[in-house]
Amino acid sequence: MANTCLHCQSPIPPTQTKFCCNGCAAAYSLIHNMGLSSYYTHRTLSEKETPLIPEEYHLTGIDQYITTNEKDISTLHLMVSGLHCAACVWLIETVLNKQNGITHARMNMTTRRLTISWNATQTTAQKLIEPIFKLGYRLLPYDPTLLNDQTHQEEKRLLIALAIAGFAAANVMLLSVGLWAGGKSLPTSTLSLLQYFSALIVLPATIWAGRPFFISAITALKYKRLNMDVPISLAVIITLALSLYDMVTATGETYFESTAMLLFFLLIGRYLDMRVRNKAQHAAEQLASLQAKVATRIQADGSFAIVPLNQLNVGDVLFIAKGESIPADGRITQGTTVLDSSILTGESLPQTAQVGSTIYAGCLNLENPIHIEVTHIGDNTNLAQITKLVEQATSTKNTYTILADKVAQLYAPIVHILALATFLLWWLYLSASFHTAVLYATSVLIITCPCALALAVPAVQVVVVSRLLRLGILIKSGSALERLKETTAFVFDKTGTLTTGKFTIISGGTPQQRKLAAQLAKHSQHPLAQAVAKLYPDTKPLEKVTEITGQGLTAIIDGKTIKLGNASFCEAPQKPTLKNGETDIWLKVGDDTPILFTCADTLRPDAEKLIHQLKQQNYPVYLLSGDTEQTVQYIANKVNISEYYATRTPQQKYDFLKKLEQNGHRILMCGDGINDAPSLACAHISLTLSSSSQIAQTQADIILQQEHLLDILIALNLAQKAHKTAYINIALSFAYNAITIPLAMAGFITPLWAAVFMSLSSLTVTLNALRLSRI
Amino acid sequence: MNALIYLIPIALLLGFTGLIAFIWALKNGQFDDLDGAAHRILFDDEND
Repeated sequence: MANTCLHCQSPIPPTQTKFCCNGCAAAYSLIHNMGLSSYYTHRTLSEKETPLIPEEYHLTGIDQYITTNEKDISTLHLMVSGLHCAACVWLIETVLNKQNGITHARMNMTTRRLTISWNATQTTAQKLIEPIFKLGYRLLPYDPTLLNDQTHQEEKRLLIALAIAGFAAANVMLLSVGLWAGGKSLPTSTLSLLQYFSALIVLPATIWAGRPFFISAITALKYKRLNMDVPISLAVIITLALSLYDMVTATGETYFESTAMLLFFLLIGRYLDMRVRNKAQHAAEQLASLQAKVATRIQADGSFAIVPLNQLNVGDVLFIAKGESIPADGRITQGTTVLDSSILTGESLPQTAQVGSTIYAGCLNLENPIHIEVTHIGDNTNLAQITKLVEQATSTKNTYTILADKVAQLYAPIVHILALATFLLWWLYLSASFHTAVLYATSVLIITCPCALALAVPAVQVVVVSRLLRLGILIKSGSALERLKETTAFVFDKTGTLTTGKFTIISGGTPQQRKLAAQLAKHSQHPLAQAVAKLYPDTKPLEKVTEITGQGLTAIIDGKTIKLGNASFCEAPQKPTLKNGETDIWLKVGDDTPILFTCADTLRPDAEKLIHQLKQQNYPVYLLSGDTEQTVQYIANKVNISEYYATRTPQQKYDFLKKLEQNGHRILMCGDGINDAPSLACAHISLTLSSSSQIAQTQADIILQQEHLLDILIALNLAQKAHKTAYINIALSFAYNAITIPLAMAGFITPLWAAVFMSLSSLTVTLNALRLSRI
Repeated sequence: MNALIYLIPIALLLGFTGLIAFIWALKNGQFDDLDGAAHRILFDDEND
């Protein structure tokens, strides 16, 4: 790694010796001067994540985010991007803590959020965070109260309810052992004492931990519907009331432990369910938050400021560095560059853009820093038009009823009818006492209570979703698993999905010529040049290379002019006959005849295998792309997809999916670009790769983090297994009910035994679900 | 059996303390950053 920058490890231009730029040199010396060089030994860099190259930035408008208390201690919350490992967390915290006036600096590695507090009389926020900018991290202030932490809060509330119910259940069970073991032989005073203590624990616990069920039941009743929370609430309230009555009048047994256990088991199911939904969602949000939602605005005085996207105005002039994506629609006012718009349109070849060119948000700036003037913001941007289409797609999509809800909708009325029948039968027909009749009816309610049912599906989903997460497959919702299993047809995008969206050289040149070309190509970010450079990744770049935007690269060696670029730049005799999907790049040494290299967008290594296996399983496969006919045809032939469609706009893609759906297909859409977002939103299930655009990641149900296309098959396979296991679980819990309901109706089962059976069935389905984590 | 009158409350109180501690930890954000703490211990506070 001799040729890489000491700080960021990107290649060093020939004019420098140790660093790629002044920013990195400054960051390196800053780290060294503070005695923190161990950062470089501790950090772990993956290929994809290079540390951000530091540039001169300052934040504007942070004052509104600063809160100062009466002791002059100010606090600021910041989101950090550019973080790649724990060493960064340590570096940021240590650098901050070494400064005067700082009282607290803590970085949350999971959420990538930084909180700093300082003494407002001694220092300012600007002074404190300046070194962090110099290190190459980007900071964006946020208001913690505005952040959408609702799901997080909900999860916490549920966990507290679970803790309380668990505490109550455990303690009451201990007391109950005394009651059961002693039975009638205990003196009445001891019996009452144990009962009163049980009531003391269970009553407040029920009121607190039962709230989620009560609220849901009341809401359902308001809309004149029945859900499973209605019988649950009824069972809890009736057992509690009956036990309280028996306790006060000292007339019989109490069933406090049944109430507590019931709540505890149900809450476990509910918590697991919530974890499935939130866990993957969090991970997905984190991915999205890594992509900066900020722009660099050039202020009136010529300085740079980082501003959030929603604060941009028409007419603002933005600075767009090399490698940055365009934050807003606009027109170039300074500079000439090459733009990669593959993520926006699906076109694989980049386009040259100069002063006056219109450019769209989402394109990638490949070659030179440019200045753009914002021409559209908000609803008028190209991106917003696509977003509108996405919203339309989402709103017309049929709401999916998950398996557990389907079962519950059928099940709830049956439970009520059975309980009522038991009560009436015993009270009126068999002339039992009112008390006994209520007791038997309650047993039926508890027995039929869907603890196992509530656990059956979420337990399976938790196991499968966490297993997939470990494999790098993010499932954003539990229902996505069920929908994945129902897929009947696959639709793929081309650029960036089946292909890597990057070019490789497929023919041309002797090894010597290739090496020379690679040495030259190292100086450019253009996808074709990168393809040439990849031929000899370790070779030393040439010195004194000039890049002519949109044309090529040139250098002089031993008095000979060497050129690498397009046909006209290298004075190629005539346009060669190229196969579909191929592009030409030329090398010209001195006055020799130019040498042709052909390159093509590379297929992902496992694309062919994936399509082959899908076809073996008799799934219809389609290819939809925004790229040209020839390129799409080339790729389609390579992976053997007979039904392909080229030059599709986002609207056409969306319409195509709608048509397929009307023909009775359940579609899995796999795409990565902004142009795929509407189709991703309307597909039955959608899938994207972690390199895809942010909007595609928001819309997709599944994100493949490893970018292995074969992961689709793994996910599909596990989804099918999960479905089977969920059905077995539901069958198991029904089997328990089928045996115990008649017994309960006949009055053989007291609420105590009902609770025991309930626990047993819950345990069975949980264990059955856990099998899936091993297969 | 009279011992129960104070033994049960003592047992409950102990359990209750644990419950309160858990709720406090949860609300205080002790479980918010489960990755950071694991790594943080690997770094020395002072440079050497």
